[in-house]
Amino acid sequence: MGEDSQKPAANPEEDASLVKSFQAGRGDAFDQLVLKHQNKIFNLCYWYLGDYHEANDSAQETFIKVYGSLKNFRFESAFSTWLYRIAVNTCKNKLKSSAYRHRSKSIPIGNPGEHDNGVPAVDLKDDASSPLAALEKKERIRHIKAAIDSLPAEHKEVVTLRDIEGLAYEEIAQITGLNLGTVKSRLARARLDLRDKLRSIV
Amino acid sequence: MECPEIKSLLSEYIDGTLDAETKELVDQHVLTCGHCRKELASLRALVQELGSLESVEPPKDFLVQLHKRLDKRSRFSILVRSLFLPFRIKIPLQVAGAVAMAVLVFSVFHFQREEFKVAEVPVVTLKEEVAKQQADNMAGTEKRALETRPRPALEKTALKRPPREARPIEVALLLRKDLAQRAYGPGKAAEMPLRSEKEQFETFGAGRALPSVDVEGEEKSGGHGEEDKARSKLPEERDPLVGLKHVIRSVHGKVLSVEFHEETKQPDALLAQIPASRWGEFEEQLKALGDLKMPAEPRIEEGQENLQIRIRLVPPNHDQRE
Repeated sequence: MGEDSQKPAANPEEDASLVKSFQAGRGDAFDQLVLKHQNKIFNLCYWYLGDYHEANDSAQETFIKVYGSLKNFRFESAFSTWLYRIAVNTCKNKLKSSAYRHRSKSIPIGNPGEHDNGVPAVDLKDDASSPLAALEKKERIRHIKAAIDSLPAEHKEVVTLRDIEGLAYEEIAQITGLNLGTVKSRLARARLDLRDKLRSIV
Repeated sequence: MECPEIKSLLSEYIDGTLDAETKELVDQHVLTCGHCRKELASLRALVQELGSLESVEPPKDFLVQLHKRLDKRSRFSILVRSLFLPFRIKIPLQVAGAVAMAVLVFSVFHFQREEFKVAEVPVVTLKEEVAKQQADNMAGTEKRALETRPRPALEKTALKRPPREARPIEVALLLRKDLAQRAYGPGKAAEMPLRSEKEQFETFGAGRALPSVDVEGEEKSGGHGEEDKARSKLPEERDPLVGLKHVIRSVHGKVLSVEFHEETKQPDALLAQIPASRWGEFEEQLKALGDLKMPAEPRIEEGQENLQIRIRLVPPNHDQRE
C-alpha cells in the first residue's frame, strides 16, 4: 500500500529531452508529448469535470496552452507537474464558468449506446464473467462518479490527483500550490467525505 | 491518543506516509478500538476502489482534433500579426477602439458646437412668412416700384442665387434692456413694420442707397392711434426692430421676413440678407444693439455674394418669460 499504489510516473528525463527538441524547432516532439500524456490528462479532466465532452474540451485546451507556452518553458519543475498544473487550472476555470454551471450535462442523442452518464461504454472492458456482474460494475462506477461530482472543488482536486491519478503528496503540493500539510489534511477530509457518500458500496 | 486524532491520521496511514512512531500509535489504537478499525477498513476500501477505476481514455482522434484547433488558432494569429506588424506596433484592439471612439466624439462635438451655442437661447416657433401677407396688403403702393425695376435683371439674380444661401446664419441678439422695453411694449406687434415683396427681390451692391425715410414711412403706414404715432417719433436706435433695420440698410442689406411669437405676437426673429463683404461691419453694428450670440466662425464661402442672417431677438429676461 502507500507508495506502491501510485501509478507509474512519467519519465521526467524523456519529457525534458522532448521539450528541448520542441524548443529547438522539432514540431513532432510536441506530438510525442501529447501522445505520452493525453491519457492521464484526459482522465484527470474526466473525473474532475464529470463529463466526457467537457473533459475532451478541457484536455484539448490544456495542450493548446502548453503548445503556446512550451517555447518559454524553463524547467523549473518537471514537465508533467507543469502540465498537470495547467490542466487543473483549466478544469477549475471550466467549473467556475457560468456556462458550465447552468448547462445540463450533455448526453449525445444520436448514439445512446456509446455514453451512459458520460461514461463511454467502450472504455469499460467487459471482462466480467456475466452480464449481471458487468451491470453491477457499471452501477458502482456511476455511484462513485456521482459522489466525486458532489464534492466541493478543493476536495475533488486532491482526490483526483491522489487517488485517481496516483500522484505523490509533494507533486500535488507543487501542482496545486498548497503546502504539504494542507494537501494531507484536505485529502483526509475529502476521503472521509467521499466515504460517507459511498457508505453503500465501501 | 483519542479517536478523533486517530481518525485524522488514517488517510496518511493508508498512504504509508506517517513516521514510524505515529504509525505505531495508530497500529496500537486500532487493535483495541473497533470503531476506528472499521473506519480504517472502509477508508482503505474506498482508496482501493478509486485506485482501481479504469482510466477513461480520450477519443482516438484526440491528436487530430488538437491539430485542427491549433491550425485555427495559428491562422487567427497570422491574421492579427498581419494587421499590426506592418506598422511595427502592437496595440490591443480595445485601446484602438477607444481611440477611434474618442476621435469620433471629439469631432462630432467640435463641429456641432456652433449649433449648440445658438440652441442655448430658447426657440420660439413661428414660421410665418409675414412678408407675404404684408405684400398683399401693400400691393397697391408697391406696384409702381416693381414696374419700374428692369425685370430681366431681377430674374437673372434670382436664378443665380446659389442654393447654399438658403441656409441662413443663425445669430441671437440678447437685447439691451432699454431697447427690449420698446420691442415688447404693449401693442407693438400689431404695427410691426415689414418689408414688402419688392425688397425680397431687390438686388444689392448696385450702389443704390435706400433712403432712411423708408423706415419712418413704414412706421407710419402701420401706425394705429396716437400711442403709435408718438412711438414712431422716438429715435430709431431706441427701438430694436427699427434699429436693426437701419443697421441692415446701412450695409446695403434688406429684411426678408419677420417672425412673430405664436402666442404673444411679439417679434421673435428677423431674416435679413446682406452683401457678404459687409459682414464684419454688420456684426459690429449688431453688437451695439445688445449681446450677440452666434457661431464662432460663420462659414462664408468663397465667391458667396450675399449672406442670409436670421437674427433672433431675445429679451434680457427671456428665462422668466418662458
